[in-house]
Amino acid sequence: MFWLREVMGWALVAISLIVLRVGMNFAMNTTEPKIVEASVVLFAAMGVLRAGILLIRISTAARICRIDHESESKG
Amino acid sequence: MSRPFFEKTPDLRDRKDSPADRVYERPGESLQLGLVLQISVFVVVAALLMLLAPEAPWSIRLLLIALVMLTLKRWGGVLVLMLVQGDLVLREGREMAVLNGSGGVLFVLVVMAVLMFVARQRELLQQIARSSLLQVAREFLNSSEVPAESLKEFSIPAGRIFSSALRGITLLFGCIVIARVLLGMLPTNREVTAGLRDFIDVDPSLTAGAMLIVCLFAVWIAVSEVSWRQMTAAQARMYLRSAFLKLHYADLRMIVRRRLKVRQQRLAAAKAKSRKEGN
Repeated sequence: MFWLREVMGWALVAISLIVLRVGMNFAMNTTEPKIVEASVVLFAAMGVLRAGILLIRISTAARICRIDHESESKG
Repeated sequence: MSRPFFEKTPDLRDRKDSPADRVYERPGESLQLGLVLQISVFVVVAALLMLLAPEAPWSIRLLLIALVMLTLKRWGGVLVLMLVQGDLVLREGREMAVLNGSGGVLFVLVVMAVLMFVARQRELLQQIARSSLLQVAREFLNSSEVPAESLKEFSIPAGRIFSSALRGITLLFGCIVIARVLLGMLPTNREVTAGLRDFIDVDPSLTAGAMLIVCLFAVWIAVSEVSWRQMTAAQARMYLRSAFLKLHYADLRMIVRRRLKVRQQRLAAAKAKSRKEGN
């Protein structure tokens, strides 16, 4: 089931990139720039990105451990 | 029945070549080299910061230099990079012409070289910064009395130095070429697009920049995740244990870290005491 976590992690990373782009749009509005709103959205994007990367890393490490354990038990 | 956790982990306390001991082992040559490196980095960084923000008063410039010097140990070149970025933003427009031409390339080269140098010598900088100035000076003076035979063991072949320097220069030029290509994607002439601001909400030049930042983030994540997959099974096990401890037993982690810190301080004090007795 580790692949499911990895897929979820990549989905979170993709979502965070989209949110990051949205946050930048807030700040880049030249007629009415929304800097405070942009900083809040960017902060949220960073949180989502961190969670996604944590999921990917844990699932990768767990898969490596499992492969190693299986090869040890076979040998 | 499985063994308890503490029996599975090796006890590093009995090992004489434990990582904690190796940290406090400072041969005179490495210290001497480290001191020279540190002084040269400080001089270059100070000179670089003097060039930045030419219209700022001297007191502010000196304050900035002191701030960068104090944080060089912990943050590496992050503050230097931030100051350079801030200076470039402030100079945007007509004043940016100062950085064009050969002078601009030299400026970029120096900035990149300083950042790479600081990033490469982080461990040595931290090692030097841990000891007091008097202690460093004493060890620096003592290291000049090392016999010639022991110095031979530390000598590095000229070919190795040359290949290492060549690698560094190639990397530096590669980084500059990539940086120039990336910067070429961003429009520099803001006056042309200034007229469009009244008609549309978002400046098209800013949209390109935002896309570039998002793409850079995506590439950075992809590269770091690819490199993450190269780890060994032992490293993976260690990471999982660490992540588990961090997520579920934050209090235990805090206690262990505190104990490690106290142990390192005790080791450093013992080393200093024995050195004092030896002198």
